[in-house]
Amino acid sequence: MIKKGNLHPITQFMDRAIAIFAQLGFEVVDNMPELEQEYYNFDFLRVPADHPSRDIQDTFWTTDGHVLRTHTTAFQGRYLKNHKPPLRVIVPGRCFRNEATDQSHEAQFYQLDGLAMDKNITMADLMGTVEHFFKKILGKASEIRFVPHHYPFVEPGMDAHISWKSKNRWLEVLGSGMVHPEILQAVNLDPKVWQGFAFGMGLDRLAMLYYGIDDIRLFYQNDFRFLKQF
Amino acid sequence: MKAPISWLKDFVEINETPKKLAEIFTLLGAEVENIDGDTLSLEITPNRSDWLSICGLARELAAYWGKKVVKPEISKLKYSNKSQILDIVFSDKKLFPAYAAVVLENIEIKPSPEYIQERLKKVGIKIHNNIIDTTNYVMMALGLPLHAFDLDDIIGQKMILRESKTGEKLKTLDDQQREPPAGSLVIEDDKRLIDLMGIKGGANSGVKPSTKRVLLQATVDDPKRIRAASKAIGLVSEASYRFERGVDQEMIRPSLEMAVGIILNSCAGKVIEAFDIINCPTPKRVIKIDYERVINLLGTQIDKIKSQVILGRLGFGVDGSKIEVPSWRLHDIFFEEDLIEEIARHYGYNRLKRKIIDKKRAVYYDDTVEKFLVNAGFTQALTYSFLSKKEVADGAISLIKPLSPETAFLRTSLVPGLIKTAARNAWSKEIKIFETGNIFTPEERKYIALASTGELPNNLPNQKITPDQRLAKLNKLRRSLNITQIPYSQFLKNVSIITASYKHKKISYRPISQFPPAARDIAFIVSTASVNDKMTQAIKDADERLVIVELFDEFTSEKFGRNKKSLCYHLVFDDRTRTLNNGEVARIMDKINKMLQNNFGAKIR
Repeated sequence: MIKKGNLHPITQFMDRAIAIFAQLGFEVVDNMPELEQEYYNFDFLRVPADHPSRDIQDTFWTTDGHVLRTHTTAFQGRYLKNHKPPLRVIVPGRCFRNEATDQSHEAQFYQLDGLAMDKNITMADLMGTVEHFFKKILGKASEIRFVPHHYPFVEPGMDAHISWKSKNRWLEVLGSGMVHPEILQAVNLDPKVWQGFAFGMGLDRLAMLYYGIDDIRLFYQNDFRFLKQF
Repeated sequence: MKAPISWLKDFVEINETPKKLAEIFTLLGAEVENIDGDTLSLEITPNRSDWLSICGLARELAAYWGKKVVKPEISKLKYSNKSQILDIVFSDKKLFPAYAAVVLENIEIKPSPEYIQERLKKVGIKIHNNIIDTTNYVMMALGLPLHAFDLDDIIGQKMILRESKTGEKLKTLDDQQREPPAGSLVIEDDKRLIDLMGIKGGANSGVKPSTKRVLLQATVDDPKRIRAASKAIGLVSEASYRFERGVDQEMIRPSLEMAVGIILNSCAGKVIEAFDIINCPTPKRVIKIDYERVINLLGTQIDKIKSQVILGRLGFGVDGSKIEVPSWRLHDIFFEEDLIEEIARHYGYNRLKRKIIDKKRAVYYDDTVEKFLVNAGFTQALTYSFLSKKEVADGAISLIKPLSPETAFLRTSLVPGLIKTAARNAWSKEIKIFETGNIFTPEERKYIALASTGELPNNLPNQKITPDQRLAKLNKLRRSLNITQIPYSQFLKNVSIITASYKHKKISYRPISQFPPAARDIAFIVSTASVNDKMTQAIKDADERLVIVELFDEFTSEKFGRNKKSLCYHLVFDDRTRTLNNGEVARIMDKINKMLQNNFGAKIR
């Protein structure tokens, strides 16, 4: 007889997250590069080199001038070059941040990005779909609120917070907004005709919340005592 | 940005508790991270430079409540458009949109009034003296950084505002020698540099205990130049932080007037002259808004009047569909969508309609390869994309600022990661692991690798890693592994994959220890009628410290008797605080043996 092995908890959780969007017709795009061009990771998304927005992301640069993507959102420029709306895609992937590791920070982690574009997609669709996602993945009782936030590539922009009952506070779990008109124009789409929403979330963080894991580094240490619990 | 509520009350009437106020700010987009007494700590995003002042935050509250902003009592000054005392020269007027200043005489340097010191302390600014504290106080209150010079240190009473050249040096007020990059904005008197504009003043001309005459300066500086200089010399000041994000040019006069008022209250000084030189007037920006579009973008019915009221309260000029941007929002309001966000923010994001996106045909997606391997007994690892120089092939991509030498290169193979995983789990009886992920050879490609202490499928290229080999020695791998690594796409073709069912488990994670666990095997004979899952669960329940209970073998044999089977389990014991000793493990094993004998009639082998 063969005893089964274990699928990594990140993979399990990612599968569940993707399935919720796949049910709504989102296509999975999982072949976007981890090693990116500065243009796609920053400039296309309206984060120019000389702007304070660049400070927020601590970046790994390679000696040949590339960047390890700091967010899966880097896919947008590449994808929209060859795909026209209507479209809806979900993009999982490994991302990297140049910051010291501790219980809640790792240099590599997973994110899930989403993008939906059509003639009549509104912010109501964004907030309803995001709420639907969190209720499905964390349970019907989860409470969610939206808080205005700034990302150069969306306007209006917002964060989604879920209520973290045990700590009596709200936890930021996702960034999102309506695709910025300059980005639509950059791919020859008329903002008066096409609208879209975009979102991105840190998967490790959500998985930690879901499973009750207290140290993000456990995901990449691959201790069997950890992996074989899942 | 720290904001004491008592200071906010100078500008707007507040009747809410600190907690309620924090919630209001957060829901408007200025997240309150902390409340310390009456001081709120807010996270201000780079686009809202106007929130880097008490009056800016108060203005937001006033707009939200439909109240009036209280204009502070300010002594008016008479301005001329040039100085009678100083000879001011601009190398390029476009670089210096506005320059204004007040000359004060008969100044006495002394400590600031109590309320100034208390407020500066609350917002985390160091206390100096009445002049310097006033410049900082006004910056925090109104958002425009001011700088005070000792007028008698400005040689020849000449000021040349220009770009710096390569190699120019200046010792700044914090006593550090600075060499800003060429193109930085500087002020030079008749002999030397006296100010690194927008960042820090020169030590050679700063206010000191003997100062009698003060030049109080207010300028508007180009954000890009300030940021470039600040980054190059590695110096961020409260002033440069604000200039980088853009300041409100219309605050020049109110800032100078507030400062003068405070200074003249603290000592018997005198205003000699005030002047402002406007090289580029505050830009006027009108954006057209389509009120139907507001509804179409947000997906919520917000009527035109409501939108106009919100924009009006925020200080926008509303003339039908023509919206004029107030001077303090010129750095972040450019598009119609920016206006729509303002309307949505003040309407309340959580009052807006929510609907799930219209259903389209569900998409099928599955990671069949990973599930196939798991059903074949392999456990999935996810290892680091970074490795040390010794673990990558020649020509590997290197990082400019890695976190450590061990993580300075991008992996050219998945094998080192699997070796590390095997070494980490040295206590485990067997290793059967796999990883799928990207490697950089230096092209980025998706690969899959398997490692096992047992056999691997023989239609895959096999390789044996033994403990004497370099990679094994480097990672302290003390046993042999069979390894295979091929492109992911090839794996799909070479191995026939039967779509396997897989059920995701919701578990409550049990924390593990960082100390090595103890591992034992147990084998026993039991009736074939006994249900394996029940026995597995019973063993798990026997002791809290049992973290892994794996059935790895089951068989029947004549030797055992009729209707009997033998079961073999791997057991792993993990105590949170230490490694269990043999005696303790033996006692737990004893407990398990007894339980199996009593509950299942098992015969321990």
